[in-house]
Formats: sequence, structure tokens, C-alpha cells
Amino acid sequence: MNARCMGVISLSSDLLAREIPIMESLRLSSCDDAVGPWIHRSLWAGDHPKAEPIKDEVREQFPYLDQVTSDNFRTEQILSVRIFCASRGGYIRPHRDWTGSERAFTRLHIPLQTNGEALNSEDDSVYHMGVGEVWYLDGSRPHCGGCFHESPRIHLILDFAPDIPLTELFRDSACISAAPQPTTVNRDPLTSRQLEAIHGLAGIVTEKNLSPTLNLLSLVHFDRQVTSASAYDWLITIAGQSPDPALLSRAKQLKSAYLGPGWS
Amino acid sequence: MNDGGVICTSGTQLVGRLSIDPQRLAPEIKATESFPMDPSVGYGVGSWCKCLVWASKMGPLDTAKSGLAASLPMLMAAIHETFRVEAINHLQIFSIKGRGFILPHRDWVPARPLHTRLHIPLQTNEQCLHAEEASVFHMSEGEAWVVDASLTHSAANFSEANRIHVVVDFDPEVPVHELFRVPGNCESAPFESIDRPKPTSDSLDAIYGLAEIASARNFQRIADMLATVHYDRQVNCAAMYDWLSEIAHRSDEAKLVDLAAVLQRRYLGPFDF
Repeated sequence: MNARCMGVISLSSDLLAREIPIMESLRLSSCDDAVGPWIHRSLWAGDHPKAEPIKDEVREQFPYLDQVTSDNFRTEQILSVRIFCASRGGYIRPHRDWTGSERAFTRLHIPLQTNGEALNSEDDSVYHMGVGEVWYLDGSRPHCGGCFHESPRIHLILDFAPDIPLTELFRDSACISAAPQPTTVNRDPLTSRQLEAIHGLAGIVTEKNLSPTLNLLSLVHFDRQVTSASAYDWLITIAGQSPDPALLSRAKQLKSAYLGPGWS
Repeated sequence: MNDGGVICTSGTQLVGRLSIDPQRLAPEIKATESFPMDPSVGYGVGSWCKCLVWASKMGPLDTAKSGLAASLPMLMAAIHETFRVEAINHLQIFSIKGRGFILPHRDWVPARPLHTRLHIPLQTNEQCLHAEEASVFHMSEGEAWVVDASLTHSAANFSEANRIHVVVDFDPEVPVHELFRVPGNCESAPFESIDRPKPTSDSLDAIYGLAEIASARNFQRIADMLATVHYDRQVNCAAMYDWLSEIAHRSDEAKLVDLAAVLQRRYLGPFDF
């Protein structure tokens, strides 16, 4: 997989402990592509190279996050800074962030609070990010992330201008220590019976439940050794068995919307 | 409630109409978009959310003075004209901004009703449906429906357009016709459930086949998907909890059996209140 842990930054558990309860209590925004409790809040925004901290009372409650950002990273290259919270099965549908050959941004994830059921995926790999680890995510590959635990997973997410080499995103090389061995999740292969059960959903699929069906299929890869993009192919197979031709068309639209036209 | 395609004469009923001009109400419907909505995560799927506009503890329901109610002057005036506002406990906005639904649930048990609940659609369309036990029906704009929330019920918006209801909770001790300022305006009317085909053996095979892929990570999403089946098939909306239990047992995962029981208890009771 292209996602990789670039190293670990030093985080103060005492200072984080002051701000995390505030993050958990915030009324955050939901995302159109998210399922369940998957919410976010912008802390920095603006047009590059003028992105700057948002001057509002919410961001001002997070002086330590500001410090983590400015102490470790080249803030002049930042496009946005956000916190993403997920819990209780909240996740984002498998997607690609851009479809062309040119990167739209360079995204780093830094978990501030996590648990063993906070998982991310790229293609057919599933992995876990530890607190303080700085992860580069390749938005050109199908990827997905979620938290299947009651306790919220909170990530600080920084988007940088796309043309800056990864090593130059840090204020200096002393900011980051060596990357640990990544925690990948081994899963059993998908069996023929399981595939049959998935395709069998044609017996109940309708226009009304096509979207909830995709929401279910999008999670199968966290338990079985398949790529997250399979969800869309399964949905197309299922919809193709429906007497309603609009369903197949909608399933194809969903695949194109999330993975880009022509993705196979 | 009876089977689909027949007249339903108990539980939820259409009891009257609110005199509101949808066009003149448009600015107030727009105003609700900026209300601080509670997504009620865990119960709703998609954009289902709600907002408390007024509660009796806030003082008299005065449209002009304060709070969110002040931004709904025409609606408040229509409610004042139609109902005995002194019997109102709460007034909420329930919104589904585009596609979304709420899982089949009960809000209280028959022996201890918390409110008499009226739904009045302000903005809706034919793809916005309600279910109560085995019945599925549509509430039109301006209609006032008593919803028996002690029965298992659910609601959905299967369109891209917004669905907005004002939900008025009254003192449950007051008879329904006495909720109206003019009791004669209460027109208790039965309604016809939308007819749907019965589930086939293929559909049940598809549902129980989910035991093959069920896990703790996707069990809630299985519940979400099953929560839509009754809108297409002639089954009680509560059947999804039996299906979940069967799926869990067939999966041989004790954790899923527990999860199925937890979900059923959370949505159908018994409740602690």
C-alpha cells in the first residue's frame, strides 16, 4: 500500500487530555459521504498560500492543537487543518480523493485518540494508526476509514499543497522520530458462500435500500481480504439482477462518483 | 393496524388540518434550515435530525418574543388558532434533508404514554413514508396526524428533496378531540395502507444469508438495511429485529446474538421510564 507512517511526533498526553473532551463535546459537521457518527471540524482554512487558523471561539479552545501544528509542520504550505471524530461504526465510504494523475493535495493523519477498532484501509490492506504517528495517505487509491468502538477515534488531519516533497512538510527533521512497524490487520479470504450471500442481496434490493446496501457492503473489507472497491462491483452485480433498470444505472453512478469514471 | 391495502382504523390517524398556505410558509421552512439540529445518531440513518423549538418549561408559547419559535410566526399563529396550546408539552421540527430514515422503534409503552403526538408535514412529497406495524402510509402537507408512538413505527424520505414536519407533543391525559380549540374540527379519519407484495422465499433467503458476512463491525449497517424492507414488502416493521436475531444465531457468534438483543431492547423496549 502507498499509505505509510512517516514517523512519530511528540504529543503531551496532559495537554491533549485538556482538549479532547472539548472535541468530543463539540457539535461537529457530518459529511455527505459518511455513514454513522463520522464528523469533522475545520480549524485552519483559506486559499493557499493564505490558509490560516479560523478565528472563532471553537478553534480558540484548542491552543495545544495549534501548537502541535505550528511546532511540527511548515504552516506556510498548509491548505487546511481539521479534526475528524468517528465512533460507534462511523465510517466514510470507500473513495478516491481525486481521479487524475495530478495530486490534489498531500494529506497527513495524526491520531490524537484511538483504539484497536479504529481502522483505515487502502485497496485490500487494512491498518491501524497509533497516537502521534504521522501517516501519509494516498488519495488516488480507494481508501476508507472508520471506528467500530464506542470510544471516539480523533484524528488531526492536515492537507498541504501537493507539490511539496513529503520530507519538506516538517519544520525540521528533529520533529519526527522513526516510524514504528505498521499495524496491519490480517483477514480471512472471502469464501464462495460469503460471495453468494452478497450477490443474494438481489432478493431484497430496491431503489429504497440501494444506499443502505452499499453502506453494508463497504464494511466487508474490514473483515475479509478484499479491496474496499469491491463494494461497488458487488452493488453493480446485485443491482443488475433487479428488474428495475434504474437500479443498475444508480449503482454504476455510485461507483463512478466515489472511485472516478473508468475505475476498474 | 391491518394488512396493506385495507382501511386502518386504530393507532395512528389523520385527525385534522392546519390552515397554512405552503407558499407563504416557505420563508419559515427556509428558516428551519439554520436551526441547531440534533442528528440523533444511532436512531436515524442519513440526514434524519430534529430540533426542539419550544417546551412548556420555557414559558408561554408566545410567537413574538423569543427563541426559535419567533422565527416561525405564521406556523405558531396557525397552531394557536387550531389547538389548545396550554396542553402542549413540546414542539419540535423533525427534518430529513434528502434521503434518510429512522429505524423502527417505540417511544413509550401503551401503559405509560409520555405524550399525545401530532405530526404536521410542512414540506413533503410522495416518497416520504411512515410505517406503523404492518402499515405504510404518506402524510400530506398541512395534515395533522396523531401518531401512536407506543406501536412500532418508522419514517423515511426516499427522495432527494427535504422533508420537514412540525411535531407537537400534547398532554396525554387530554382526549384528542379536546386538543383542538374547536373540538368539532377534529375529524378522526381512517387511512389506507400502501399495498406491497409479501416477502418471497428469495427475499427471506437474502435476509438470512447475511449471517455469512455479519460481524460486530457491520451489524448496525445490516440493521439499517433491514429497516427499509417493510417499505417494499408486506411485513410488520418490527420484523427486522426478528431477522437480526435469526441472522445472529445463524452466524454462531455469541457477540452478535447479544448485539441483536441490545438493538431490539433499545428500539422496542422495555424502557426504563
